[in-house]
Amino acid sequence: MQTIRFTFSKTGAARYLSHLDLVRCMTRALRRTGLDVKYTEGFNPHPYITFALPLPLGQEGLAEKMDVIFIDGEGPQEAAAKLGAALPEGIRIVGAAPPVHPPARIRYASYDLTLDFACVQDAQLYRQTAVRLVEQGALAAQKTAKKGRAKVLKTIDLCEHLQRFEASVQGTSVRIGATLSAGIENNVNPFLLTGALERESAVRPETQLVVREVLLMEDLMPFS
Amino acid sequence: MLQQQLEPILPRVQKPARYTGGELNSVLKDKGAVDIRFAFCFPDTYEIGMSHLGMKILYSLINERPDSWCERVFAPWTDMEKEMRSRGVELYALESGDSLRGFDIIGFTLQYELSYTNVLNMLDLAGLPLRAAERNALAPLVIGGGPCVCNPEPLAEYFDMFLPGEGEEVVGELLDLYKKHKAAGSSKAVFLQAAAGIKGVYVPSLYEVVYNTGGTVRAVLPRPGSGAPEKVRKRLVRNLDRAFVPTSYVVPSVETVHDRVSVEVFRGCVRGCRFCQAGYIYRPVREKSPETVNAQCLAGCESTGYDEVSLCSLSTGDYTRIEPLAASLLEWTNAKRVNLSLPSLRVDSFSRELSEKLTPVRRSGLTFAPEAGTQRLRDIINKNITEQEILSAAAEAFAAGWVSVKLYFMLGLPGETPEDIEGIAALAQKIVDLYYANPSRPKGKSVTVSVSVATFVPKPFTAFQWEAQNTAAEIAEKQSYLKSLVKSRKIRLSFHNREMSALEAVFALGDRRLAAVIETAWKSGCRFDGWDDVFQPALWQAAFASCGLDPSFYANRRKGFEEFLPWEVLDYGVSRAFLERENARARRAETTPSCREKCAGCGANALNGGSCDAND
Ligand code: SF4
Repeated sequence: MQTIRFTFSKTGAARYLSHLDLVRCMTRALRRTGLDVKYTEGFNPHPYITFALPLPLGQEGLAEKMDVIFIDGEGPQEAAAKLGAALPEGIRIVGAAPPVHPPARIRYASYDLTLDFACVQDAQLYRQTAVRLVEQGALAAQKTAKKGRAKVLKTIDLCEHLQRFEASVQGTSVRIGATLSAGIENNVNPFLLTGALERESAVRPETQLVVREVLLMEDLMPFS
Repeated sequence: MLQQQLEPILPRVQKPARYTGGELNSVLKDKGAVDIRFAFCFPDTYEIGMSHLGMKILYSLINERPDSWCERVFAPWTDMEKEMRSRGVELYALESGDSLRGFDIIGFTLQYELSYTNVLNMLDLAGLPLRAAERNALAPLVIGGGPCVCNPEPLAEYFDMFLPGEGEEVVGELLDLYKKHKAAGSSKAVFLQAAAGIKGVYVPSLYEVVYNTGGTVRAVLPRPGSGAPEKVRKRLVRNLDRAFVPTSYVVPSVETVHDRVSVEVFRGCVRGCRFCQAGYIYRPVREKSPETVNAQCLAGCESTGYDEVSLCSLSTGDYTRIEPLAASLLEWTNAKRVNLSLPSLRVDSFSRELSEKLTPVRRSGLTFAPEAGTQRLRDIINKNITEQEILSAAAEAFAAGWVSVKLYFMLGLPGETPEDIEGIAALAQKIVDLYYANPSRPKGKSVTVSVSVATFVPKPFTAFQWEAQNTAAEIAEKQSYLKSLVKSRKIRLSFHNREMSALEAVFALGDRRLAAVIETAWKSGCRFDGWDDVFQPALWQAAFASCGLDPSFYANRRKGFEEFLPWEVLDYGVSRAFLERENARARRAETTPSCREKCAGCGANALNGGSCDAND
């Protein structure tokens, strides 16, 4: 028995697959490979798959992590090749190795955001607002949190969760590089950040592309 | 280009993955290297269309040809339609993203009468004129197939041709002919006339409809000199073991209605329920061998990775070799952790042996379709199930630990009386009582008997094609009567939307004049009429009124045997004499034995060189 941690990307059209869709795709792909995967017991057995951190619908991921338990058989590279051949467009296996860190060590994720505006002025205004607010160190956002069973809205200060922030204007686009809290404890969806900036700057991007580049640990080293 | 246009749209719509393509096993080709581009359109949502077996078969069949590229198109949901219209995005095919306008052939599969406004909407979203007569060029050609084609008349003005019957063979012949004419630069008229010479091709523009003064159709006649046949006979595949079945299927990334491998075990039905169109129009019965079915199930699972396989047909329990098939399937399904589901098991074929064989895997649920509440009415409709059979099957199921049962009924069947409605409530109550009479029932669990009640819709090529449908008001009364009779909280009663059933009957039984109604309703905003949350009956009423047509003329009027029916330009194999005979027997509450016991002489075996697997 061995666990392999696959690193995969989910880009293009595949970003519109929900986490549940992704689980289903991976399950089917594993079944197609015929690899000797460990299954759960019970009435409706399915392979043991765990994802380090689900990616919200609509966002791209370049180095997402998925663990699969194999009973027997091929090494990580062979498994990666077979699995990669069984996936839909937009999901690619980019690496496979035994896991090094437990998923609980994930603290941050680094993002690359591209926001397109109707005109250069809007883009500049958005960027200026963003930079000013981050410098001032206060940027409130509302986040749903679980309180017992109920869902409640709570206000958080995004700056407390912002490890890195840079923003530049390229034509009518604003490009933002950001490292935000991530993981089981304090996951901050980058849409919270772009939503807060939209509110504060009062300009609305036409499109926004969110790319999660890499999952990081406390020491800002990549989770692997 | 399209990608850019979609970028701002997709985050704003529900379930954006419906509109992106890129699924596993979808077929990409070089558009410069093919002669024919075929857009296979399913006029409903992605999730429904992607569950449809016929579409999967034809998609692969066309894509096997190096000269053709078949792509998929579904009806955009209302939110997506709004976005597309506001940004000028034309309806595109999922594989290439190209607008339908540039395709050679646009083929709709017509599964349900209430998707007709979606057909018009899709043509319009593609930027095409709706009416066939306004589309002058050879391409795109708009063609239709599927069960609704057994009366295509309400859509006749919009389509260039219809393919009644099974598509596997005729599509190839049609593509060959099209290719020749495209290369020769033929006009549409020349091509259509040639196409009408292919067996099983109905070109509606080559026929003239003659009406009687009362509005009934006197005849549908081929135009002089057109060379079109007087009657178009449906096509069918003679040997199912040799019929094309894909080895790989597109696997939707999002959840669909039937997310599994489905393999047909036979076509046709041996039962002869008199209301059931499918039971008549797919005759004669042709079985696949268990070896073929087993191999196709295995190949399907391997190419898709699905963990469920279902055997499909109108009544899988009637498959003569179900036991050896189940045995050979179970040899590998358990090891591969594949669930086997047999959805349309009829109550009287739910044998103990078979059910025990299936215990290692999940069964898909216990459902019975008595359709009517008393034996007398069941005899009228020729649903040969007795109450005793239902009760003993339910008792066995309860003994095996089941706690829920689903029952299907219809209201408004010909010959229905108040006792029949009372019979529905009584049968449901008997099943509840049966559960509590079982001493070994699971502790603390209560039973649920779901009673799902539809409205009878008379359909072409059935023994009831002459019958009148109850009006929606009459059905409303019957529904509330039934509601008043159901006392137990263990019985969950649900009704299918009666206004939808009324509309379904109009289009099932309608003629060419209805084209105007469909168009008016569509213009006023009707879409997805089979969806409760979108359906707008008031707009339909207005459309009928403004076109000066009375829906009850089509749906609520009993027709005599002397009347020519608008769909009688088509021949589906079952003879009119047989249907008349069946109708007369129904009036006498006389049953007809299943085809296994005795051939009833429906005439459909003539399509298959005189042979019929139901009785050989
Ligand atoms: S030919 Fe005879 S046995 Fe076959 S479907 Fe018709 S009635 Fe039934």
